[in-house]
Amino acid sequence: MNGENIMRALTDIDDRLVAEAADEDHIRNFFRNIADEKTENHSDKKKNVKKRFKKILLAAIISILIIAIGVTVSGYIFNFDFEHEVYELFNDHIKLNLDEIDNTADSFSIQSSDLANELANNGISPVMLPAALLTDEWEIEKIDYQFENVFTAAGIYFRNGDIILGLNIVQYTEKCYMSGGDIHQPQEGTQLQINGIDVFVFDLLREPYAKYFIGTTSYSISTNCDYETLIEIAKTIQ
Amino acid sequence: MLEDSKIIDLFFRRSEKAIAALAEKYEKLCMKVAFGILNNLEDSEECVNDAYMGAWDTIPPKEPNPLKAYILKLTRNQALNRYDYNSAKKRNSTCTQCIDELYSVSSDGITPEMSAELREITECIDEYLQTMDEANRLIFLRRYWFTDTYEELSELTGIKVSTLKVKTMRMRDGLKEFLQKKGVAV
Repeated sequence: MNGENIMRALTDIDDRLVAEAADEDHIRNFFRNIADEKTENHSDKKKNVKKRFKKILLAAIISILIIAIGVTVSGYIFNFDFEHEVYELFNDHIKLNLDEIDNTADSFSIQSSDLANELANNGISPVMLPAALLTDEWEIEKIDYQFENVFTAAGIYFRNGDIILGLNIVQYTEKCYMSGGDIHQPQEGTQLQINGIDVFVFDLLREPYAKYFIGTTSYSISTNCDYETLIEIAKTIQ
Repeated sequence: MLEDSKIIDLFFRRSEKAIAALAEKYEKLCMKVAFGILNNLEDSEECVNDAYMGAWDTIPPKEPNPLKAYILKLTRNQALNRYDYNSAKKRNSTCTQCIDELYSVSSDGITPEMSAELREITECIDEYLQTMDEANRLIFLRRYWFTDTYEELSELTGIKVSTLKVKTMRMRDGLKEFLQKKGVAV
């Protein structure tokens, strides 16, 4: 069996399918309708986000009031070395404030790597990656992609012996779709300035976690290594 | 442009206007299909004309509905035959001679064994296409039946080229798995 045989076998498929696919006007309308529906759904989601924002705001006010009256409501230790304006503190999580975060890279010096090329071939470009992960010590086990109308995402799974590390990259079509995200149960946090961007490394209750943003692309790293090791990895972002 | 049923009437009355009416209505589409496979204007025109003659020879007794699919299939078969012939000519080896000999086994270059195998694959592909949602099915057919380039497909659907490439790759993988499950060697 070869490609030519498949091409030949395709010729005799159901007449109705051929006629349908031959109708370019039908196809244009069909995909336009899908796009319109997605836009409408997105508008609805934005409305929901606004509603959620009001709830979060209310929760924040309540949290501040509780802290103000000196009642301890959380067992988590918040020890952040962050600039004050880049985050909002909640009861058991913090939220990064995208408007205050440096997300304009000075340079993208790692574009010639195989991984950067692979990502570029799938529509994610340019990228800033931790150079430490591109050494022989680390092996890429797999890459998963997700393609949606408003974003393209890649999940890259690295391994270095017993250490596993997941780098999740989401490239949005517009900034309005982005969010700083909620970081739950943080024990400690460090803000790094690397090549013009802010990189946030957290020690969560169970594992360290890092997050950074470049333009309309968000990066997050989860791993089972220790917090200090992740900081060292994050310092190699370029 | 005449309705399909009126064009079929002309064929049944053996009026030569039938081919002119067929060409007026479907030549652009037929040329697109042939050129997508052959990438050569002269060869494509010949294939389309051969397809018209194929329609002339087979209607009647056939009364195809939809006529559009019928003439497109005739064109595609002609173009694939020409493609094989052109490729074989270029190879110019003992293998080429064998292929030429096999082509002479039946009028369209396909042996009965190959024909049965192709029918089986066609049935599987038909079944696989029924499992797809309409969007993916249209993308698959435009790419592999009408041989649209990714850029043409992107213009038609409004989907990014990179997304289309990944979608079609997944569909190919899906088809391969489907054929394997059905016991068709791939």
